[in-house]
Amino acid sequence: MRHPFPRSRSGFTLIELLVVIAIIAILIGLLLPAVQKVREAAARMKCSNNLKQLALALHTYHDANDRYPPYYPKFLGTTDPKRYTENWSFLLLPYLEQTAIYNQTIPDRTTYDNLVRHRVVPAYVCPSNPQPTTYTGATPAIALGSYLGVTGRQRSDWKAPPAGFNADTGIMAVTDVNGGPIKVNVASVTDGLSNTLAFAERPAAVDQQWGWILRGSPNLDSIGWAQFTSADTQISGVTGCVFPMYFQAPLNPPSMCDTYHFWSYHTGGGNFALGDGSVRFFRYQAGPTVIVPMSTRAMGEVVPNE
Amino acid sequence: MMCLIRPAVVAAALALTGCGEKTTDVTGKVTYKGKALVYGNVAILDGGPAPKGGAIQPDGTYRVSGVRLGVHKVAVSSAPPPGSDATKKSTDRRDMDDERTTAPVIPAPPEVLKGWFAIPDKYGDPAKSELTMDVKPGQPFDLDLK
Repeated sequence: MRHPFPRSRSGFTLIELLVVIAIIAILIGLLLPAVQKVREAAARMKCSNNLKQLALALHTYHDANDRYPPYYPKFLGTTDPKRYTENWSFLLLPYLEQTAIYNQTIPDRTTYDNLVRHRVVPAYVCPSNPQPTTYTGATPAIALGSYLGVTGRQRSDWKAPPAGFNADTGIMAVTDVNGGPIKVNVASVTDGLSNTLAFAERPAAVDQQWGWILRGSPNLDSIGWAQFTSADTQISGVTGCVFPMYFQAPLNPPSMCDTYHFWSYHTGGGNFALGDGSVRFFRYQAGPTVIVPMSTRAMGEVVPNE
Repeated sequence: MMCLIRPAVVAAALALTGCGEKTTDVTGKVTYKGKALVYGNVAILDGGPAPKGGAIQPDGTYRVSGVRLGVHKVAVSSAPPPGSDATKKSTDRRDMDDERTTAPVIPAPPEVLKGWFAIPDKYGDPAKSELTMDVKPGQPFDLDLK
């Protein structure tokens, strides 16, 4: 006679399986935030390393040319490719292992657009920035950057330069009021290279119309200022922003108003590359007190300790 | 049991809100040489991660929310309102780019366009404005620019 049930069963009941699965799920749940944090830390590190590369490229460029790279010669025809090739974001390419882009023959702006503007340069993109790397609303696409060259204290300075300057007050300030080049080299930085900013973080505008790193106009595309008041030229169609702006926390969520000022996707502040090649993290609170005096090359301000 | 938990939750909530930094809303009226401003913003540098700001209403009043208590620098700016003549002529060749699409300009209300006037740029820069404010709870603060 056979037993209706086997004496010893092999396998697990449904309840046992569910309990085991639940335990595994809880353990994975504990692990995920930790993994996410490590990913963020890695992105932050890559982001500041990019700034380091930019600062070193700036030094190498200076060694070869005895001047800092210019930005955007003024009063050029709108079809002149020099609008974009005489800009730090293009001139530093050979020093960022992008010689292939730099060495192309560029007779006119159409050629420039076809050959250069869509190229995403890894050193110009901060991995903490969740934005796309190109603006695809134009053909060819336009690469977006996460960094700006620091051009000085305030945008209106180049129209009414303070005493001792003939244009912008930063180290990337290289056209005078008539559009002629100004030679700014290490000797011009009397505030000291360790007290002068070279590059800052600023993700592209939320509508992706600013931050065109290789096709800067270059107002807020590849350069920026430490302070922005309403007396400076404003972005057309953007209203309701609170002026003045400094290096400061973005709105939540970031808005078009955040296009004006330096900020980052890191928590509580952002990284800056200094003229001496170092990269430092500043808290947003340092915007008016530390970043403004550090944005100029020769105004002799006392930079307070942060 | 329930009657024990509920007071505990309330107490915890009160304790949590009490821990935050003391802030207040600042209100008042902005005038320049006795005339009320109709457009612009008031910004208070209260040492936070970003300046606190509030828009100036067409009647000259403003409200800035969540300002830390204490003495702070203040800036008042009044850019030309959108759609005014001053914004139309201020095109700068350096900013032009034929491929950039910008958001359409929505003009300010007619009373703002009519009543707007420029104030000196220095009031927009807290380092030069010479305006300070001792922020205390519940105290209005009128700004009279000279």
